[in-house]
Amino acid sequence: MLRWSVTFFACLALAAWAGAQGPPLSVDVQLRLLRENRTLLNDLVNQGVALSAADDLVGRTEKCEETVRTLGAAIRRAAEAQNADRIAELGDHLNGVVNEALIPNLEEGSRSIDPSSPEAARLNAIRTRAAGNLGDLRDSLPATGTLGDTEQVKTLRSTLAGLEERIKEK
Amino acid sequence: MNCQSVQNKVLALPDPRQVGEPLRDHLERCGSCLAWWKHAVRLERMLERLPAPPPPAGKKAAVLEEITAGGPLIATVAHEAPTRRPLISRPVIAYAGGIAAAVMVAFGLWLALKPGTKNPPTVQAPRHPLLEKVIQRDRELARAETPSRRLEILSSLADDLAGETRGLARAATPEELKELAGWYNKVVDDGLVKQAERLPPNSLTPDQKKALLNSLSRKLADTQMEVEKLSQEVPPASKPALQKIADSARDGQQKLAKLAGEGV
Repeated sequence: MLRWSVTFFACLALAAWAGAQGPPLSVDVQLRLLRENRTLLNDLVNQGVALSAADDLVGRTEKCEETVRTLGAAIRRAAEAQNADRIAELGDHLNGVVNEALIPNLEEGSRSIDPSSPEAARLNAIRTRAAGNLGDLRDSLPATGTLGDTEQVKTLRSTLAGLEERIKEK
Repeated sequence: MNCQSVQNKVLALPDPRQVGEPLRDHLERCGSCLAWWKHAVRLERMLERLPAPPPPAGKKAAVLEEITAGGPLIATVAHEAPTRRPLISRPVIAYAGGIAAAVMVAFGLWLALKPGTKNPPTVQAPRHPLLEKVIQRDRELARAETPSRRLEILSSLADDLAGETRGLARAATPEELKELAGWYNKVVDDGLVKQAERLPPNSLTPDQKKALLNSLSRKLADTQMEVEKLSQEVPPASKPALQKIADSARDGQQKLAKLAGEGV
C-alpha cells in the first residue's frame, strides 16, 4: 500500500514538475529576448563582477542595492512600453533579489555590526535609499488605466509596498 | 512377539475382527493363537446379537436427579463471539473507488470541454532564461561569504554565458555574439582570475586551494575546447566572437593552473 502511494505521489510530482517547465524556447525567441535584455544583462554582469570583488558585508549590500535599482529602472522602461508581462517578469526578479539578498544582508548587518560604527551608518543609508527607491518605483507604476488595471501591475504595486515596509523595519 | 502378548493385544482391540499386520502375521503362523482369535471373534458376534434389557422403572429420573443434585450442570451458556466483519468488503471498496475515479475523470473532462464557459486563454510571454540565471548568480554573490564560494559562482556565471553563446552561435549576429563574448571575458578576466589571485592565504588549505583552482581551470579548458570546435561550424563572420571566448578561457585556464601550482 505504502509502495503504491509513494509511486503515485512521485509520478504526480514528476508530472507537475514537467508541466511547470513549459516548452523549450525556440532559438528565435531566445534571440528576441537577448535583444530585449542586452542593456540589462550588461549591467547585471558588471554588477555581478563588482559583487564578487566586494569583500565585506556592507560592500556587498551596497552592490546588491545597485542591482535592485537596475531592475527598478528596467521595470520603469517596461511600464513606459505598456508591457505588463515584462513588468511581472522583472518584478519577480526584483522581489527575489530584495527578499533573498538585500533583506538578509541588512538583517545580518543589524546583528553583526556595531550600531555606532561607520559601517552601521553606511548600512542605514543603504536601507533608507532602498526603501525610498522601492516606494518611488511603486508610485511610478500606474494604479489605474489599461496598464494599472492589469493583474501584473496590481500585484507588483502590492509587492513593492510590502518590500518597502519590510526594509524599513530592518 | 509371544502368544501371550498376541492374545492380550487381540483382547485390547475395539473389534477383534480387525487385526493389524503384525498380529495377522503371527496368527497365520500360530495355530493355537488362530484358534483363540476365532473364539474371540465368535464371542464378539454373539455379544452384538444380545438384546439390550429394558431399564428399571424410575431409573432415568433417579439418574437425572443424581446428576442435577449439585446444582445446574451448565451454569452459563457461552455465546460465540460475533466475528468482526468489515461493513464493506474489499471488492466493494475497489468497485466504489473505480466508480469514484471514473466520476472524477468525467467531471474533469466536462469542466475542460464544456462550451461557452471558457475564459480566453492567457498566454504569458516567455521569460528569458539567461536573464534569470544572471540574476540568480548576482543574488548568490551578494550572499556569498567566502572567497571560494564567490569563485564557484563566477565560474557558473561564465558557464551560463558560454552556454548561451553556443546555443545562439548559428543564429545570432556577429555583434550579438561579440557582446556575449565580451561578458564572458569580463567574468573570467575581471572576476574569476582576479578573485583567484586575491584568495586570502588562510582562507583555504594548500590542498583545498589547489583542488578548487584545478577544478575551475578544467571547466575553462572544457569551454575552450567546445567553443573552438563550434567555431569550425559557424559562418566566418561569427568566428572572431567565438575565438574571443576560447582565448579568454585558455588564458584564464593557464592563469588558474599556475596559481594552483603556486598554492602547494
